[in-house]
Amino acid sequence: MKALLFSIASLVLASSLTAQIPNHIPKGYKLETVTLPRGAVTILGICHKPDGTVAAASWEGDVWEYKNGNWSLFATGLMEPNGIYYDQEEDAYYVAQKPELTRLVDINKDGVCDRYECVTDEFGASGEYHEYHYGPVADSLGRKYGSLNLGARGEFIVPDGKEGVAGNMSYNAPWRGWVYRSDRDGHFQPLASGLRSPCGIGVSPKDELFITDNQGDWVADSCLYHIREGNFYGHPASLPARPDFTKEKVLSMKAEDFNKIRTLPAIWFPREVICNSPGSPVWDTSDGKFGPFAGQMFIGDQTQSNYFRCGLEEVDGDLQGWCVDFIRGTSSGTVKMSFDREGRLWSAQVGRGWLSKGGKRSALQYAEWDGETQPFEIHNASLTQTGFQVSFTERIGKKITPKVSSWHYKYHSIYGSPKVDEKALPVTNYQLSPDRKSVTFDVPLTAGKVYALNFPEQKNTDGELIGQSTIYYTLNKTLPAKKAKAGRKSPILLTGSGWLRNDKKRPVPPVVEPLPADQCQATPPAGATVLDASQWSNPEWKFDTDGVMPRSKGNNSTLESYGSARIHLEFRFDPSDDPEWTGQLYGNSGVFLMSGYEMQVVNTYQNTTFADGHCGAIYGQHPPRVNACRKPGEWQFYDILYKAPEFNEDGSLKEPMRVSAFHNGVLIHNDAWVYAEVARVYQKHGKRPLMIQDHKGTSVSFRNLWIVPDVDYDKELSDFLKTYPIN
Amino acid sequence: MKRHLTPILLATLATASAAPPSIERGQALYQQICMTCHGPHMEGGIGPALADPFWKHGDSPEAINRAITKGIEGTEMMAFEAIYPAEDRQALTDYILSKQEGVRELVRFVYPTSHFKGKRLAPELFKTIESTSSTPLPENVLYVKRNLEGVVRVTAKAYIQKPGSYRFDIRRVGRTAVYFEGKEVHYSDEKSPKTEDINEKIDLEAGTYSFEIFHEEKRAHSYKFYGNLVGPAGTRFALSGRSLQGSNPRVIVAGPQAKIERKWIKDMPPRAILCLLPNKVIVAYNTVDGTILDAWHSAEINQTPSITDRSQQPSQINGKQIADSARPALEGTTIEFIAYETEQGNALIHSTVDGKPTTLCIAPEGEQSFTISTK
Repeated sequence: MKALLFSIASLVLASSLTAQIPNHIPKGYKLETVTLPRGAVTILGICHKPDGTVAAASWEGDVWEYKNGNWSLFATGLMEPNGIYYDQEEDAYYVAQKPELTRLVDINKDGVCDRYECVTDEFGASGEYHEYHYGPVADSLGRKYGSLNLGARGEFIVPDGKEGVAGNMSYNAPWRGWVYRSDRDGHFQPLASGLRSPCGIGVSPKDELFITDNQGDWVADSCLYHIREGNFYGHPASLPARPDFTKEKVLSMKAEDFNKIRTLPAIWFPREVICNSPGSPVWDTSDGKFGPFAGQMFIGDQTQSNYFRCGLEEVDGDLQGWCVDFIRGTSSGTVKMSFDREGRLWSAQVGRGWLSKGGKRSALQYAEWDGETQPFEIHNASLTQTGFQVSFTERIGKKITPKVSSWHYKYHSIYGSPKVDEKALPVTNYQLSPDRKSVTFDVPLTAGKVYALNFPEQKNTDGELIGQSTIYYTLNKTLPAKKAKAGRKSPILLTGSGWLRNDKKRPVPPVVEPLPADQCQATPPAGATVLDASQWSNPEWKFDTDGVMPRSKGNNSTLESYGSARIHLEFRFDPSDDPEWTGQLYGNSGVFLMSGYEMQVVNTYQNTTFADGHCGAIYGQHPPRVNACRKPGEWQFYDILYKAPEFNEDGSLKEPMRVSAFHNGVLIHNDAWVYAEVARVYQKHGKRPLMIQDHKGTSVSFRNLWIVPDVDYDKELSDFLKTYPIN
Repeated sequence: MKRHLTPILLATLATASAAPPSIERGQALYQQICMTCHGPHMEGGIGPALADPFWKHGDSPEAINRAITKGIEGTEMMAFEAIYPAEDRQALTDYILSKQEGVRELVRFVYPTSHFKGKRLAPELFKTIESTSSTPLPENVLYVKRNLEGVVRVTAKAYIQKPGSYRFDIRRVGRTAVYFEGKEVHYSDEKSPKTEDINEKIDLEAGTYSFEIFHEEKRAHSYKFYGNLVGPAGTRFALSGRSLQGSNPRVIVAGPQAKIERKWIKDMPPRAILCLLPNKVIVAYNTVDGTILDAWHSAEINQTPSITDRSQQPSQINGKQIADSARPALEGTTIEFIAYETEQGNALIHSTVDGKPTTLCIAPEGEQSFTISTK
């Protein structure tokens, strides 16, 4: 057991704190400092209310509000709240305390918090000091996201035989090293694993979720991850929480095995020159009030005490991009940021616990643009077939061929990686655009490398030297030779999920053992309507003498209409070894809740298809948590509890449909948020029939269908989730 | 060579501490105005405590006098030269100093190791070299930064109230020497045999004394220097500790309204909440299983240890345990914690017990106890 304390920043040697990276602020910008309230408050989180109030959460456990130049204490007694979010609709703050995501409510509106509400505490917290909890941030549906740090000391570590300086982080409690979504009280949905110290979390204006992780064991350099549900981001200690892994399995794997299943960062942040310990990303949605960087991402660093800018582009279906330094010389470590309505970029700064170049223990500063002076900076970089295109904020003067170098990182359990195979590359075919604001050039491109594009001594047409002369591009993939043909329909991005509807790249759910059939039987309870022949509207669908109803011509709806309900039904695929009927054609049907919301029925026992088209998927939205399909010829069981959507007077959606379900006694949906009907967006409706779908392909039959109407979903949910042991 | 443990008798050295009439006058003045902010027993309140070892603006007689005279900018401590003449301000200073006990006025100097190689740490060596840093230590304990490789010299004063026999009890690590009023009273070198150590007892009267600590530290992740000045009747003044890194010490008690705190306390589950009641009773409650974990009376939470560095240290509860207070507060199979709030002197915890909304009320009872009730 190591007695050493582990650092989440890179190992900062004495020399790097005196490294000669000068302070810098682009022309037209300035940094202002706001005095913190008395008592040497260390701030860890910041957000803004629409009326301009700044709220700051402190490490000591308080929430302070700053309005009209005055500080007042809003809440206290919290445990290390690492981030704060203001929910305008609820007029409440959310903070990520160490053991809990908490909502702070001022009931009588006197400026002091009255009620401290537990939103979710379903993740593990062993009490180890390094198990910080970051967030929350929210998507456009109001759902909250947070991230969970691993522990610095503990039992389960994955050293893969290599132990470097500063050792390995450990997995001490459920879901550490994961990012999660909490979309309502008590609901905790783990989204992705493989994180180490995910100090930065942010949701883009396009509802994409991003995490920054800190260099350390298994993490070569600090970086930005584009989070997609179900993906694994590299640090193996958190893998055992997935249904397809156990601690034993993880310990038997090596770096090359983890490498095959991990998702690479979208942007690598080279240490020192960009950052060592990044915080949370925020996006400039100020419509130009913060200068010519509208839409770009801003991140701060605890060690370097700076703000830097990032941008992303999609290459072959995945995001990758660039980073460039912006303002260097904040008072302390910039970890959390927030734009106010005037387009000023505020940062909550902390220099405690990990050394920060700024020097101060804590500070509150904002950067603002004077509204007219154009800075002279590199604006962005993008990939071409043969090199790069780099744009500038102003016209450049003399043409200067950039110096380009590349390197890559090792992936191993040791703390950090040096730059491997760092070399200068020949630059050819330099072209300047007619407006003199962008250049293209050719350079040998290799996938898997980080490129430094340096424009030394670059001046604009006024002879002014460029602010930051190097931009770094993470080249995970080169551009495909031909652009992919646009599909019939434009792709729909699922909010906060990272995946498109029917995304073929989405990893399929792991296969698990279903519960034996005799344990899945369910007799209709009191109040249930048995859906026998008398209940259905389509005469083509007939029940045979055994009560089995094969799928037939045309969809089949119940005669009755239903709202929230509990359903049980059984289905069986006819076996087929006809190679024509594979994928979505092997036993396809669907259970259409309220005629519009489909739970997929299709054989996925040794039959390949896309993730959200699997048996049990909320089709096009949520793959089943696991693939518990039995083989064709055997009877299978669905147990579903769903909540009807609620609509406002004006027809807009108030509360989405929710679905919880078991397939063969295994949990496949835990309070899933349904985004839309399968075929269209939400449209106001009342009770509607249950429908079973007709579909081409091989046959499937149904029996033992019953429904309990008018259930109180919220009341029944926790008991329903205990219907079978969750594995 | 083993030295005899001959007690060294030292006369009191009179310092700026004045004759009793000045202290009496100071006390009267203190009760008039100062106590409204600093408390009748210097325990603090609106203003900081004046009876603890943390002196943010300096604890020397000059620093205290200056604070009274000129005030502290940016705070409610005004410049009292506007109200009191110099003699009165001196009287207040004398009174405050007369209540102080322990190690004060620490200044830490750091030197490079090479100068001391092979030489015994003694005051003369420090006269022939410039320090690389000199830092007053407002926490009144010696702490060395991480990764320090060098020799520190700390000059300090010992404010003694209880006469008797005193001794420097210092962990044997690196090299350490203590010179008390110019005489070597402690020496240890972990590389030399223990027989060469010096640990003199010193007989002291009440008064103020000067001393110096010399210590050679090797680069390490954690502080190695550890020591106390121990005296009669259990008197113990810490010589070592942690830097507050610019924080103020933080002690939490309830006022007339109850307070509920989430703080990491040693051996307590991570989801425990601490209910601080106006009668200075603290009740620890586990939101996960609805049990009272423990309770204390005459209690406060000292958050100070956890507000430095990475919060690797827990907060502490200082108080007297109430025996047999651990018990279930909610009975049921499934307990789900919903929210907490306070209602005047009571802590209210809302949960659902087997689906049924239940509020647990933890209320003060008398001076040293509490009650629980549910509805």
